[in-house]
Amino acid sequence: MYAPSHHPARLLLPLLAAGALTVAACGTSSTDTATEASTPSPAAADPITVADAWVKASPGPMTGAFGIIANTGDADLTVVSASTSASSMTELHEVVMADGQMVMQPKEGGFDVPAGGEHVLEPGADHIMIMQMDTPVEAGDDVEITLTFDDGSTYTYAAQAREFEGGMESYQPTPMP
Amino acid sequence: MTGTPAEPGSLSRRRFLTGGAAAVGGVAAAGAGFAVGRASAPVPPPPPPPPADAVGRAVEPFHGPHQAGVATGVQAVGVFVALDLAPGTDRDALVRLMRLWTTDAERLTQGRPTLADTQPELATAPARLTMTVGYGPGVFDAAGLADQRPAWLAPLPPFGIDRLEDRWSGGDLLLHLAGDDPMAVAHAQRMALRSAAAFAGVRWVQSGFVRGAGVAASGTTPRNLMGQVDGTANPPPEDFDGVVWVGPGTGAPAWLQGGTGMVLRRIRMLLDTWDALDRGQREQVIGRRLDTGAPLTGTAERDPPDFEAVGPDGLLVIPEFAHIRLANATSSAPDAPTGTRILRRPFSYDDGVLPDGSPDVGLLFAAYAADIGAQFVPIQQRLAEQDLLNTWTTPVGSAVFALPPGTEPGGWIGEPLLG
Repeated sequence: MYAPSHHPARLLLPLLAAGALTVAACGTSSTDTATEASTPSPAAADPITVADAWVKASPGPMTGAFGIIANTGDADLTVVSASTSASSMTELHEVVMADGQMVMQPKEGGFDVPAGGEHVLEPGADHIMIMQMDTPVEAGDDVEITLTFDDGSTYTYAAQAREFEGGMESYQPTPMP
Repeated sequence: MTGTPAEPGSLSRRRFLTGGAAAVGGVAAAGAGFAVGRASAPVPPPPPPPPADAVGRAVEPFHGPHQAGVATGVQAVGVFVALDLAPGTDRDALVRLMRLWTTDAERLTQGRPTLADTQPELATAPARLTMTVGYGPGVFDAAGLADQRPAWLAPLPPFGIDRLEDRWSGGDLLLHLAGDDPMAVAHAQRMALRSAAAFAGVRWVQSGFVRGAGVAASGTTPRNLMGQVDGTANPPPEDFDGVVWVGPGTGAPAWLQGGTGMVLRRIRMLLDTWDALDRGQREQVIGRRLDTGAPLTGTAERDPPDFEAVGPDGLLVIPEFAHIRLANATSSAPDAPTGTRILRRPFSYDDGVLPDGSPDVGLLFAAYAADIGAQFVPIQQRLAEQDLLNTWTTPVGSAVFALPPGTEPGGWIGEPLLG
């Protein structure tokens, strides 16, 4: 079972999953898809929208959440943490090449969402890592996700759980040397 | 046998008709609904030249009071997929599947990749893609909602002409995809079946087609593989409420209001023997001209048939056993002149050759009616008993589904039943 570390843990991504890393999840190059967004919560970061939000269905203990975070405001924002209705532990992850292998690890500094720009979360790249799940996330479930930004604002949205063959399920946490 | 049409070229018209009629009683075959519908939209004035990819860009609305893919003008390609629920797929699981399918449909039909779309580039040209969902009887048992099943939602009564095969019949769920681009349809099928994988397995897939987009003027009634203009006598769109769409106060379950019933009959055409008929005989079997689709008593496709007209030879111009006479609601059902109309939206199929070497071709005869039992079954019964066309057609598949109403943004297909 996965045991979280207080230090930035690096998780070894099996090579067999590397192919999935090249798969764009959901039309992330399409600009008009960003027009569909969830309704922000009252305490929301107003300029933020999240489009194409989904979570990989998983029996546990962990899974990933994806989508396109857009910032329509004039100030750069950074996602510094996330929480979800699927578990009590969430990390912001990146996938990097290290020693010839693709590994995922907590992303230092979080996800930058520049003013007027967007930050794409997709399998094989930056994503929200949902850990220590108490119950399975089943296909068709809605997972509620709240992003917290560096200015203290938050944004809450729903992400639909989808069956997905690629991605994170087979990860084994292995400390990098 | 008396004048079997097996070698009809040698028959006089009178002998052909009387002999053929006698033969029908002993011949097993099928065919509600060849050649009687009518296209729904008038032909518009010529538009300015469209962009080169206009066919690909075209979008059919997804949201609305009714599901798309029923009143929608027929697209070039249609696929019907029946699924059987996996053990343990209960009401909660059905809700999740409906939410997934709604997501897939509201995105893909509008030219947007669905969530977790692994081939997003295939989703950008929807070409009038529609995704339509239906429920077989099994859904109501699985959901614990047996009391919400429409009374007519059951296998059709057996007809003497039937030669049904399990591999084309039945099913707990229907997914109907149609569009003007085979690639967009295939992609939507793949995505929707992936969404369904945790809940249901495919029972059968039946793919069909009409003419390609742009081949004939918009509004042209399609032809089937017998060459017949097929669909002239469909109800006009202003009659869909009540005839097609379930309305209030009809005794149907409230959740079905705005929905409809669907019958899919897979009707094999015996084209080799059909082609042995001469052209005049083929027209008499239907009661319409092959070139224009006009009734034999008229000159234009839309001319109302005169079922009483008698020719110089003393015979009815539209023969007693002509398909359009038997399929016509008013001529054959004086007790229910408006109660036996249906919307026919067939696709042709061509699946290679049968083991005996004959072509495996026919019609995916999709019919829609608010009350299948009251509207469809009487027509099918008349046709099964008397239609001369049965000599050259055989029903090999049959399935009945209830199609829930449409949904609005934020809702999901099936919510009035399962929500």
